[in-house]
Amino acid sequence: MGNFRFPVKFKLPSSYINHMILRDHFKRLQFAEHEVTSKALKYIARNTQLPPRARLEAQLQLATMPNYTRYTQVRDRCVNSGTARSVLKKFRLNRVSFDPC
Amino acid sequence: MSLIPNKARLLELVKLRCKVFNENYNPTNIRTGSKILSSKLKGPTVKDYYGNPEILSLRQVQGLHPEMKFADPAEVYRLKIHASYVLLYFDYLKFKILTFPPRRKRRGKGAPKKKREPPSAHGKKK
Repeated sequence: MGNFRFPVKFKLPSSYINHMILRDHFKRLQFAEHEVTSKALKYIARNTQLPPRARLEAQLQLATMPNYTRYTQVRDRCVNSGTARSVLKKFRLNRVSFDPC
Repeated sequence: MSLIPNKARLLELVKLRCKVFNENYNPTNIRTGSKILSSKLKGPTVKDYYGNPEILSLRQVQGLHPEMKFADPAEVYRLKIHASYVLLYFDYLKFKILTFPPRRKRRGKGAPKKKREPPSAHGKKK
């Protein structure tokens, strides 16, 4: 495989696929993988009872983690069409896809 | 005479409550980061938003075993709804045929009356 556009290989999702959906899916997978480490680092950084040096180091490590490991990068998209606008979160569908007519 | 408990006793009570309900006893509100540790992991749910690729869909299973016939409840439901819509449309057509022409007739917009007699042979007089 010469050019796989994402830094880590992953399996494709089973829903409708779109370049934006692929991007979002990748971020979701990476977030799930790095969640425990980032949480531990965050705990160390936010705990005021720990030595300041350890806290600073943890904060720096958090900052060096790639952007795709953060939950803020994840956006809910329509499973049927891939649009990110007016998605009903409960049904994971856009309002147009949700309309049965 | 009312019995007002002192602060030490109240703190003791809080401590006991924390022990019972498995909470962190933190009377001075020091930032310990326990909020981060105690929050649930949301990775598993976030990961499967677009569907889990490990789980085979019904259509894929049907493709693997074409000789078997699996009932897809969603498809069955869709067909049922579709049939009901078709029936509704037929009902609407019936309603239209029965009601629309009389209504138009009442308003004087119906088809003209057929002439019984042939047109007069004389024609216009000059």
